[in-house]
Amino acid sequence: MSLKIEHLTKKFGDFTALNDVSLEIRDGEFLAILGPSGCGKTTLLRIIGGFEAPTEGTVKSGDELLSSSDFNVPVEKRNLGMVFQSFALWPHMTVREHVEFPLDSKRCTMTPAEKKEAADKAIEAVGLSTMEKRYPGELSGGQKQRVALARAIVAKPSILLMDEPLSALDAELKISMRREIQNIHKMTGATIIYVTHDQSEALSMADRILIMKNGKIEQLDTPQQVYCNPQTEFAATFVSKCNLVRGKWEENRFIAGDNLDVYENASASREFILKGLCPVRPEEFEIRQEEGRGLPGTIMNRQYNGREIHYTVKSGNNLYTVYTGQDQVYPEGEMIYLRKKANDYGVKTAS
Amino acid sequence: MTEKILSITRKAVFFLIVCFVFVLPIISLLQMSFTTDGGFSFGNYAELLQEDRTIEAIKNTLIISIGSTLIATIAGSFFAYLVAYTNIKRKWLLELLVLAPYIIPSYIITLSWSSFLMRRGTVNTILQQFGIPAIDIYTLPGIVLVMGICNIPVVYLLTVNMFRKIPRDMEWAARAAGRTQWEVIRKITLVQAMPAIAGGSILAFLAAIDNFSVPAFLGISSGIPVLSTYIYEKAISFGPASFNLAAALSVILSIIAIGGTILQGKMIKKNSGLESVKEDRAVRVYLSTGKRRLAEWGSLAVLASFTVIPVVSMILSAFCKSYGTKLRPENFTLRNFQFVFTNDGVRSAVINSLLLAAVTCVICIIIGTAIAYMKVRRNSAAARMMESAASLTYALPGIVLALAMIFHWTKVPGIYGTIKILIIAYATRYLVLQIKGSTTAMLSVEPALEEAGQVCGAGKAVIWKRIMIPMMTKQVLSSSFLIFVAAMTELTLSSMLASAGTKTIGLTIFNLQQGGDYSSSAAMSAVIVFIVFAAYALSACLKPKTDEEMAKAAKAKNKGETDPSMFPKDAPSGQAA
Repeated sequence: MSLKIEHLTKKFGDFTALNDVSLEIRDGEFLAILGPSGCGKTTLLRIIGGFEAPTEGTVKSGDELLSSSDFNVPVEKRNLGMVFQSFALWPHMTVREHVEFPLDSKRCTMTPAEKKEAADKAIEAVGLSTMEKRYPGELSGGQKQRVALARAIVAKPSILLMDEPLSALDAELKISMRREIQNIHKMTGATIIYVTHDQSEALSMADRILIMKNGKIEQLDTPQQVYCNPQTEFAATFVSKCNLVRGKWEENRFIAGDNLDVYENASASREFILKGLCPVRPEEFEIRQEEGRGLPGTIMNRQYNGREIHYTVKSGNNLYTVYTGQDQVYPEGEMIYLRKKANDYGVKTAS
Repeated sequence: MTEKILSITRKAVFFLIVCFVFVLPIISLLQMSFTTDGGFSFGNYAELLQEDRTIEAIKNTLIISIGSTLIATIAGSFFAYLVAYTNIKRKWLLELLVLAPYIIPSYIITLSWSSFLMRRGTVNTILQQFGIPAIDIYTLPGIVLVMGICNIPVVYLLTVNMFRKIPRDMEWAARAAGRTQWEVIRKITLVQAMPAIAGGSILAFLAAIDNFSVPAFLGISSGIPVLSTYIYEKAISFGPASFNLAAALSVILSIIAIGGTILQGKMIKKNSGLESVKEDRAVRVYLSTGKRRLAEWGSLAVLASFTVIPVVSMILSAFCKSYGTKLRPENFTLRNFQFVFTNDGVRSAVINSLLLAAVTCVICIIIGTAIAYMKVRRNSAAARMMESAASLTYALPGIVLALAMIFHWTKVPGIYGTIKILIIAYATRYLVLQIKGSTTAMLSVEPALEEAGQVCGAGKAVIWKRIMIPMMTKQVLSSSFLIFVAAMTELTLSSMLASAGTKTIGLTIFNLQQGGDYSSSAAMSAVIVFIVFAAYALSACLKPKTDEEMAKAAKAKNKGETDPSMFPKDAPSGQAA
């Protein structure tokens, strides 16, 4: 059943956490809600879960009303699972007891044999079969989050809510847990609503990404579209770390600066065209030493990153970020020209 | 070489002093309990256990302790849940009423209840009109009820913070797993809070065993002995071997008390899992308006009838010409208050109590903070030994400590019978509170802050003056304020140790009540309630903002200034947080 969110607004006193948000989440979809802290993404997740009531607007599952300002289906009656940033394991229960907990609720209609099988399968799916009898205190961070995952999926909910589930884990574990979450999505077929502030998590796993800022939707698109065709300034800088080059648009040509460079076959959303800006991702720039077209600038800072080198280039009063291959080494203070590479990739859209 | 000898000598002297002040009194008591005419034997214990009255006292002590602990635990954790979790309003008022028995001395609460439930009083008159027999507070259930009310704050204070520390996610995870709010309370919240509730109830049990005032005011005249009052009666009876028998009773009582203290210590260790978790003060359970009003006003009414209404009834009775009649214009008098303000005995008692409280505080601050410094910064074994010794004298019931003080300090001339014995007894009893408070204060000053001062070229004196004292003052004073109020309204120790010229406030009220002068004791209690509340109000006004509040204010300011992007642009920055 698809989830329909219509004109959702949530106020805490004078503060508006959600401001007229509407979207439809398809059945079985993996939706990532991406935004900085305070953008309303967690509030949106909590309202979808039924932990909080909206000030205005509705949440519907198909045609069935779940939440409105004066009606709320209690959390326990919604068929959902949830994974928390803090793991939220109960210190007095073993791994097995955690996984069996949702099965013992009134909501669950399985027979005892089915319950046992479901618990075994969930524990096996997260690779904890040998640790069934352990308590949370005896598990590592990654194992704890696996228990939380097993608990969330065991009763076969149609919706899985994930509130920054990986942000309490260390860098390497985050990457391997991404695979597990993808596998769980494939295995269960559940709708996943995944809140994160890490754009690489959203890009790597989601079917669609919802970018939020100040309680409003900035963009809702596939990862590729969000990355290559950001619709707003915020989406461009937050997700793909775009440089915003000032200039003039003439149809699908962009004239950068005071006639310093011309980007042929360029495209951007209305917002950029109206503002006279062109989003250029750091890897779309190249650094040239010979004079000619391009934005003239000075290398201000160089950071070696292994696979690539990150430069900060000052041109006029603007600072630009440029990623180059690791063989292109320029000393700080060097005068250079920034050119945009030929537009050979990126998804074209009519905008 | 001489330095080493000096250091060893210093340690030895310190050790001897600690033993002399804290340990020897207890040994004297033990020794006394085993001393009989025939020398050293269990004779006293055997004699006591053959007496019916001893068995009755032990039985009553257990009934009162367990019964009052049940009341305190159920009420204390219920109100703690209400305050920590629900959306009721007027939480500050509810908390004030819950904590009132913590502020008002228990003998004044007892007096209030006896005035509230007077045989010919309003409540009982109304009950009798409906054919319900009058309630007599001078009975075992009466003592259980008053003692339970007195100990509600103990359980409340321990559990309310625990409730706030239970991570909300843990409960939400259970809701997401299909469980109702009610199941969550039973399976998650209560299980998580259980160590705190159990720890609080053991503390309430210990407080009930220790309490002398309630059974003394309600039980002595009606012939209901408990161990603490029985020890008192034995000790002041001056019969043959009465001191030895009192000592033996004290040992029995102490064994129960120390056992409870050890159990409580274990509970605290079990508790430590959530110690570092931050308190979450947001509302978690939203009651519908009707239920909210019922919970809110129902609780306020019950709590008001526990303390406020009895205390008001006692104060009103102090304005009556004859005790036990209704307050009417023709019955109104200020004579009782005139007595309180003009009587020499009362004045000297007030002066004694204030002096005792002040001197005790000063001694505790100096010694307690020094011990805390040695313990925290030097990791000194001697300081830890001192703390254990001071905990031992605090764990002993007050009446037992008083008896031990008599046995021990009569050996030193010029102490017993003067106010010095009271100062020594108070300092011995309350020192551990200051050591604990000063330790907390000391822990909040990281060693790095002291080292940063040293790096800046400051000497020891400057570091103390400019860094340590300013950072510790608030915490240190808040513990000494507790000691001040406790010492000022103390009854148990002074009931045994005070002599003609050194009576305290508590003892004077006790003597007036025991002598049948209820009106004067009510008037004096009214004055004490007023003084105690004034002191608390004053300390609340003088209290600087807590660090948390200051940090919050600073954060709100910073957020508005540096990160407006997080909030809608049209929102004024000041309201951001």
